[in-house]
Amino acid sequence: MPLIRPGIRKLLHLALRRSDRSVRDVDEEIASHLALRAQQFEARGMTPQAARAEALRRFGPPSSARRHLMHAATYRERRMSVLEKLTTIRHDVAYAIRQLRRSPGFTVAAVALLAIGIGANATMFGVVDRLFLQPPPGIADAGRVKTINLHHRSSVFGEYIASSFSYPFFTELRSGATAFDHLTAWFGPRPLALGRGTQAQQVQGTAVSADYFTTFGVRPARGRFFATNEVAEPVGKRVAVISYGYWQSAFGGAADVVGKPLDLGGSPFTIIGVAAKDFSGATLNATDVWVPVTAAQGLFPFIRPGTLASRGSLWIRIVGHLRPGASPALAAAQVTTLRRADARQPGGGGDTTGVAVLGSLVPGQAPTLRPQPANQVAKLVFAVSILVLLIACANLANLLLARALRRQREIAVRLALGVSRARLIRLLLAESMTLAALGGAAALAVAWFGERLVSAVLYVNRTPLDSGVDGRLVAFTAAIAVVTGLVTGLIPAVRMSRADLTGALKQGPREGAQRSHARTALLLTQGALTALLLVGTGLFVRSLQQINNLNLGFDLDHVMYVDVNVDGMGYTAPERAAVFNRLLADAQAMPGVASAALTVGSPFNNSYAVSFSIPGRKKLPELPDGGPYIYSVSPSFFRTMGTRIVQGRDFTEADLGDHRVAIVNETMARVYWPGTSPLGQCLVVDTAKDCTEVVGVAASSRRQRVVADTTLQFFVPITHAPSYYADERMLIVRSVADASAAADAIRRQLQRAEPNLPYVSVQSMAQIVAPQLRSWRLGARMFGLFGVLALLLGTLGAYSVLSYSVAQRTHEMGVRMALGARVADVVRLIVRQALAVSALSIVVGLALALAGGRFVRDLLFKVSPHDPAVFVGVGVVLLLTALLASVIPAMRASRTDPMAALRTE
Amino acid sequence: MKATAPLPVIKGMLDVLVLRALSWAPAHGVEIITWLEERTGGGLEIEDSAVYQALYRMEGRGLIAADWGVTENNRRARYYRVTARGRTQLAQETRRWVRYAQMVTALLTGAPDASSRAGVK
Repeated sequence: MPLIRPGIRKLLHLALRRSDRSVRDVDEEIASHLALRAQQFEARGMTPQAARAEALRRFGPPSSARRHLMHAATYRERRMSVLEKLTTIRHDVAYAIRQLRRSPGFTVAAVALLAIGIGANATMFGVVDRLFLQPPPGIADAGRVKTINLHHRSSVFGEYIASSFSYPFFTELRSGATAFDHLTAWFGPRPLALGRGTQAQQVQGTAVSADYFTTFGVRPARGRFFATNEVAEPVGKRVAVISYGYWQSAFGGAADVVGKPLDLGGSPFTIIGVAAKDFSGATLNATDVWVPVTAAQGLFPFIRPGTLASRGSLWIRIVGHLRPGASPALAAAQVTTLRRADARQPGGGGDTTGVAVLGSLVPGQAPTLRPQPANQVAKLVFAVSILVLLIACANLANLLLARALRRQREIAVRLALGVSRARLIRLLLAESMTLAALGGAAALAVAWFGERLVSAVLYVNRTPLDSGVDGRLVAFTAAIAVVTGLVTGLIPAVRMSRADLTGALKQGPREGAQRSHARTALLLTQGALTALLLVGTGLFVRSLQQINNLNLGFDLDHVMYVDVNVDGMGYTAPERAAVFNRLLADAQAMPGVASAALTVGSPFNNSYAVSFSIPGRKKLPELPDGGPYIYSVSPSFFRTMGTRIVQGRDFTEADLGDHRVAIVNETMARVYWPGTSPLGQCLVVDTAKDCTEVVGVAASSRRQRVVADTTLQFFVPITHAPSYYADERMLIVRSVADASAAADAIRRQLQRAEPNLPYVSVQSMAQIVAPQLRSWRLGARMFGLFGVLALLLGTLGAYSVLSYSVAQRTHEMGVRMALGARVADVVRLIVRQALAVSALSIVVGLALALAGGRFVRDLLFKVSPHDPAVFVGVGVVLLLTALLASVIPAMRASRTDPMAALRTE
Repeated sequence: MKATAPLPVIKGMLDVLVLRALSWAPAHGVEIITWLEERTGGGLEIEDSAVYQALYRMEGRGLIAADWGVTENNRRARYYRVTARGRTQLAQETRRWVRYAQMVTALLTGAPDASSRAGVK
């Protein structure tokens, strides 16, 4: 049977518009059908008229048959055009894949570029999404769950936002703020001691009021949540709810976990339930164990007898779920009114300026007057990751362009054969889109690891329950990959489709004199962005140096604080003191411990003020930080802390006797006795009637903050500690090895020596100071990482682009050398051109960095954002890199055999 | 209704019948219709235009493909042929129909089964 091949049909019909053709096709087919059918009936013996009538009758009702057919034909055309498009795309992609497989080196380089560029973005999107766009997971109706905050404009303390409240205020809100249908208060998560002796460990505990889980709309995965009577004031039941993650890690997900006992802070608790899988608290710091706030006394050092009833103790955070129909404004007004009443009550502080601000649960959207460093770092690094992507894009576009130029002759042949320019652009785009798809997939793998890494650095305490790669992240990555593929592919595609046909066919694959402006522009962009990023990296590295050289007045590396919370054990004051004396003796006997001391009050932990006077002085000079602060210490304190005695003498065992002596710090000596020696001076401390004699001066150390914190401090033997602070003992240990490494071993040894004690917390000084340095360290690490990426991308990109272009200029080099140019001339020519582009990009990049300095100022530790050393350093490094990246291709070009180059014509 | 009157085609069956008609060789509309009439002895009630609707529908779904050709008597006609997808579809629909028909036939013509009714009691 004679048939016409489908391809020809397409060719013949290509000029017609589909819908017209479809109508004509249908009418033609109806006519053909009727004729054939009539012929058939005639052959069966009908008259021509009767046959014609019968054909029409069989065809169907004249009113609707044609209409129905047209309808079906339209459907057919629509379906087929979609199918055809899909087929074309499939062919284009298949072609692209064939092309890419032919040059595996290029493909791997391009995919790696994209994996880094897109991966960095996807990673940071994951962080930003979690921080700024989404509430903590597992919370139902999070949009109507509001945190309660008060914006104060106090005449005494200035303007501030308070998010901590007293428990009595919470109970008043609960009964008075009718705009909320659920209100809850919590404290934590804070370290909580679990178990005793060698079994003791530390978990993250949160003390909660009734209605906590209802407010967040959480369901139990096992058992139940707290009943009202279990959380009732003043003393609740010792029951606990554990998180799903803790259930899995500590109990292996055992089905019979409900009813099991938990030894928390030395008291017995019973597990009554497990929270839903995705819920781990209302903050980014995950909670392992929830307990009723009314049963939490003794679990956390802060919660003492009377804390719950005290209007002056501001310690709980409050959130509420808005009643359906209630507006946030109404709720805020109710809270403000209740706070005014609260402030006027005894112990309420009297500050009635507070205005309620309802906040979102989204971590980065909490109401604040000052930008939070971690949030700023996250935003900045997200911006930086976009810069890295731009660099990667510029690089890839340049590579694709170079590749397209090499294929100029092939493309010209296609154009000459009648392939439309639109189709050509599609073919080239298919290649970049395929690369982008591969790069995007690789980027997801990068994000998988990257997100964990980054959030571990950003949020130390967050337990990574979920991988962080979710639907939103995949969608974001896909979107970025599509945009990247389009952007990087369009530049070369449009350029190539405009190519001069005959010229290209004649000349063959080489660039000749018409060097591409697009490529230079891309090199410039990439170079400038790299310079900008490197300046950031340099600044943060300098900042990190400053942090590491920080002198706090004591030894940061070998000192650790040892504390144990025995509040839950019901000890008397002498029993408590005995615990610490035993721990001191234990520690001193341990190998690896250089010295140990007991203290009441310690830097970066707690410090106490005391009534204080100097006989004969009516008014003492004051410092903004207040003071003087008193530290009551055992004789080996200064040796243990690594603080120098600069004048006079250290304490001895003899000082524990009745004769009162003190050591003052340098600041105090300078402020109280300027120009004279404080030694032998008399202080009157607390309620003592006798003089306390100054016997020494110690180097000043920081009290609470790593920056600008000079404080009046003095030290007395621990036997003379003011009576009302004497209970607050703590052990300080100086290890021989680095404290961070030794801390865990020392904790285990102490735990073994004291099998009846709850968890003994051992924290290195570095660990204690770390939170204050975190945002600076963070900035340095993140910028360092991205800066190295940028430098790597920039160098590789510049190198590959240069070697490509040199390879294409082989002919030109051959001509030059044939005309008498020497090797050095050719090398100089290429290197000079590369350095010119590089120098220009560095100038642009440094100018951008100068202008953008203010964005990073707050995140730098004692480094100016315009630090000249950094700017000069970056310039030099980048020029050297450009030199390196151009010398190798230049040397290769200089080895061109002029005859061989000319013969390739 | 007389027992000998032509039966209407069950919804959806026409597509399968047309696929079957095309399964040996490409054909134009009239050839398909003639085959259907001859094989059923005119026992099915099908309008000619309905066959074309089925053809267009299946062409849109990629089950068949079409091209203009010339008949033995030198007339222009559109020739249809089954694609690979169409063959899969035909095999699948045929299996389904056979199973369906067997079940329905068994239900309608089988004798009541004593043992299963005993279970109900």
